[in-house]
Amino acid sequence: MKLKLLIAPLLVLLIIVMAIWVVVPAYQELQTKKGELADAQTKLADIQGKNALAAKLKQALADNPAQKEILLGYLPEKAQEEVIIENLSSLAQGEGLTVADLSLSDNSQKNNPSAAPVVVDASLGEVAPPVLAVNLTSTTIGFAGPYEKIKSFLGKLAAFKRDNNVISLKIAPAATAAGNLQADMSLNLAYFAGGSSAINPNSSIFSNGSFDTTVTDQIKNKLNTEIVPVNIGNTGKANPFLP
Amino acid sequence: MTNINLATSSLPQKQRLPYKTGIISIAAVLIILVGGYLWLTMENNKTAATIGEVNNNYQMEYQKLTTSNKEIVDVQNRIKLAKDLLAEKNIALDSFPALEKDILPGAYLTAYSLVEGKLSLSIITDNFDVLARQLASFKKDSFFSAVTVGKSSLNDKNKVMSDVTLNIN
Repeated sequence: MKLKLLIAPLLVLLIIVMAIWVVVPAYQELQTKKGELADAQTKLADIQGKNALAAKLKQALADNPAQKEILLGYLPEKAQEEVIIENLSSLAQGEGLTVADLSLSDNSQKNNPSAAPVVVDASLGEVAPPVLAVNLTSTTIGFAGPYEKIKSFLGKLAAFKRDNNVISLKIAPAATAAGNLQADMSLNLAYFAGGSSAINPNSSIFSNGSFDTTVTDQIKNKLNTEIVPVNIGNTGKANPFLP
Repeated sequence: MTNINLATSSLPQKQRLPYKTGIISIAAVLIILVGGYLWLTMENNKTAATIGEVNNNYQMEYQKLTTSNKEIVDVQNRIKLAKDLLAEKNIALDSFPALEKDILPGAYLTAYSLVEGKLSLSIITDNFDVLARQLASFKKDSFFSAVTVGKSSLNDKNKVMSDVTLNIN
């Protein structure tokens, strides 16, 4: 009889204990997991959308190969010293200037100031891509000629379809001919090796789904000094020391 | 005389829940609770498995995105970099129209040196008055943010040789 009297309160106590310490935590755990699932599903849908946009971008590149060519001309993958020499000398000589010296060195890097910090989720194996930076080929060129032609040469250089930035320019009257000026210019020409091993999935390109064509349009329309390719011509000589 | 009715009416007996029914009700609640717990545990396991599956799919999509789109990223990086490079000013070229506009008839340049936005000029003027007016002309031009004059002296042809530094915006 005594045991019979105790069963009911014991069962009520068991219900309370179970509800507080077992069922409620399990419910809370489920709510947390549902939240995690919703987040994971959102991320999955997001990355699936990005892959769909990436496929669209690939198609856009395949349909318009000129866009990539313009960019590769403006910012090539390698220094292309021979192209720099060929174009600087032919531009200067085309203006009637005498090129006395030309030297190149490849020794500096310039970070992209507008590169946004990259947010990655290491728990999902995301890897931060390296900071964008161009390599600079430092070039110095010495040339002589009349003021108008030096100015015209600088104008054509400013319109060159490959990036170049005048770092310093010194002009003084030339000792050789009256009215002529001697100029020594130092300029940097950028190139970008690219081929990054890590791609940022949060890159805006995978959200926009289209390339910003204003840059290629600007290069195409505003810069009108074409890049002259180097023509190797005939090669071979029995004695390389013979003039 | 007032009559008082002392007869007691039979009061209804308070109905008590039978013990058995109470126990059954409590047991039912307990069973529901246990059932609920089992269902929650199953749902938790199922949700955890779904999360794992979604994360695996994410990993696959992530791998696909980050390994097969190097060309896209390369083009995008070039666009970003080119945009900044195109925005850079060509102050060497821009300095010539400014100098042509500001130079006085009685003055001419014998040296021009542009380094890091600072333009150092050697100027020969007919006299100090022309030099003063030349400096005023440079200062009037918004292309130059600062004008400073260094040493000025007469040369053998009685002209004034001066070193002038112009800061370009």
